[in-house]
Order: sequence, then C-alpha cells, then structure tokens
Amino acid sequence: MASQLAYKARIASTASLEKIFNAQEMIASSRIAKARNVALAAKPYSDAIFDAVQALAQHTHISHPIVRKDEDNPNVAVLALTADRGMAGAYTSSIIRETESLLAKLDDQGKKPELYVYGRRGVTYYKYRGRDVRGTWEGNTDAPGVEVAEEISNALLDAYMKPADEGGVSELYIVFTEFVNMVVQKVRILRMLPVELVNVEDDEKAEASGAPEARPLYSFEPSRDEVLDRVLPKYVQSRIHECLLTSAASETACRQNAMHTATDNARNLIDELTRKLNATRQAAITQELTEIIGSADALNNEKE
Amino acid sequence: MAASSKPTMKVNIVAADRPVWSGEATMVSLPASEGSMGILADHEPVLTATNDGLVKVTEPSGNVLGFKVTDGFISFDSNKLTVAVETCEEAQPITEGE
Repeated sequence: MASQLAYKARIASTASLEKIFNAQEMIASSRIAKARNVALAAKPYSDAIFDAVQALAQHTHISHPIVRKDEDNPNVAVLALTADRGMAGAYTSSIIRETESLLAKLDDQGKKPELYVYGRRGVTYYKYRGRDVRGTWEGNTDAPGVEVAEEISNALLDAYMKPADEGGVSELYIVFTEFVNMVVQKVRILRMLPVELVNVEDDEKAEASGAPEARPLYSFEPSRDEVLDRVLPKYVQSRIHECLLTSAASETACRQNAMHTATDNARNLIDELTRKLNATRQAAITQELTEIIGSADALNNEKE
Repeated sequence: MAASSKPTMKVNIVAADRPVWSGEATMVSLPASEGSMGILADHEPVLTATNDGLVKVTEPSGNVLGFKVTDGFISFDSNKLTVAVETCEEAQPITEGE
C-alpha cells in the first residue's frame, strides 16, 4: 500500500488538473454561442450568393471551368480541416482517419491526391510522418475569419484553374466536421469542385408550393460570362467559409464534451484516491494502537 | 413631404461575415463594374458585378446613407435589391432629409 504522502500528492495534482479541465469546459461552452452566432451572421451572404448562382444556372450551357470536369487530369486536391489545439477529444483524429480513407479510395481510383491541411494539429501529424503536403494554414481554427477563407479558396482555386502539366488539379474534396448539435458532430466529405449546379426545376418542386412558377429573367452586366467569373469564385469561397465555420463550432463542441468527461473522470479519481488515503490512514492508526496495546500487555505480563 | 410618395424597394446589404443593413429605399447608386449605376424601385431584374467604392442609399425620408464596400455583386428582382460584398463599413450619413 502506497504511503499517505504519495496519495496526498496525487490528489493535489489531480485536483489541479480538474480545475484546468473545468476551466476549459467553461471556456468552450461560452464560445459555442459565439461560434453559432458567427455562422448565422454569415448565412445571408451565402444565401445571396446561392440565389445568384441559381439565377445564373437557369441560363443553361454554362461552360465556365469551375463547373466543367476535366476527366483527363488524375490530380485531385484534398483539404482537411483540423484543430489548432488538442484537448478536443477525437476531433482531429477522426478527421485524419476520414482523410486517410479518402486518400486510399482516390488512390484506388487511379487518381493522384494532393493534400492541403488547415489546423496545427493536422499539420504536425503529417509533418511528423514525413508526408508530402501541398499547402498548410494555421491559426484561428476555432474562429476562422473571412481572410482565412479567402486565402484558402484563392490557393485552391489557383491550383484548380492551372493546366494539368503545371500541377493543376481537376477536383477538390473537403473533409470537415458538420455541427449537428451539441452532442453530435459528424465528419463529412464534400466535393467542392467542380461545382454541381442544382437543377432549378427539381429544386423548385422540393421547395414550398408557394414558390413562384417562373423565376425572373435577369439581365447581366457587363456580360453573363464576366458576372460568372466574379460570382463563382465567391461562391466557392463562401462555401469554404461555411465549412470552416461549421468545423469551428464542432471543434468547440467536441472540446466542451471532452473536457466535461475529463472533469468527471478527475473527480471520480479524486474520490477514489481519497478513499484509499483514508483506508491507509486508518490502517496506520490501527497498527499504532496494536503496537501500544501489545507493548502495554507485555509490560503487564512482566510484572506478574 | 413629397419624398414619401415615391415608390420604394427593399434593400438588403450583406457582407461576407455579417448582414450590414436592410430597409426601404427610394434609390440606390452602386459602383458597378462598367461605371456607376442607379437603381430605382421596380427596376428590371439584374445581376451585376460591382467594384470597390461607395454604395449610396436614399431612404424614403430623404436621408442618404453611404456604405464603403469592396468588390461583390448585386441582384435585383421582385423589387428587392441584394448587395453582397466581401467587406462593408458601417453606414455614414451623407445628407440629412428634411
């Protein structure tokens, strides 16, 4: 049985860990609301872009490179959205697992995946294993701003628009975590490029019956192609921003859950250790008593 | 007050990270890619790319608000104008109405 001193030391260190976990949990739960608000605030913009793309898609025969698939080029890009910091449970590891299986699947299809990583944890994971990573971004994974989304989408669109012999890619996949609710976050794989334009008629049937039959026929200025050139990259950027925001909310929720479990575990551990400490102390007291009584008995016996 | 009898339209200005302003307006002038463009109520449906510049919104009261914007696009249909831009500063009053 370990000494009382050792138990006391372990209890003290577990108690300070518990304080850290508890603080982390409280920080995460206060940030959740903020992350959700940020995601909501960005919604009107992505809605506006989506409507515009829908209006453009109505005019058929769009031959913009962003919607056209270049079958001959085997190079594809994969973007994995991971966390900057640990203590978020399985958040980064499930992203990495999904990414690995996606890479293996693409390899089987005869494609050459190129990896892009956002988030320090993912970057260190791949650096440590000596993997070839085409591009990395770090910082602010729990509150990604427009600037990060712009940087990432510019780099990826650049790679996408380049011809195959200059290292261009023909597809772009994003591995991110969808925020379902506080308890459930799901890893999802999204094919971002080429953009799949939703068929407007199908979409309208799915919509509420109150939707107008005919959509307005827009006039485009300066020309349809130039508006497309401007709007489609913005569409991609806003979709990427959306992915970043939902990943950030998931990361915070994951961290909160992980820290909640860690706090509970630490408390259980402290309870268990305290019980053991008490048992040890009691055993020591009993032993001392036995020794005193035994020696007193021995003295009495000698007198007789 | 003559201004109030003018037809109005709904205007919605959104930046990439937040909605900026929404309300009624009688006229909006925009830095369209081919030069400045004014939009009155009941304009034909239009989708236009815009450059960096100043979006001026004339409210029914006659107040003119200015929004400094970076590039983006606008769409107008069913008397509703949506201005979607990368970034946008808060409204600055340019002229006061009566």
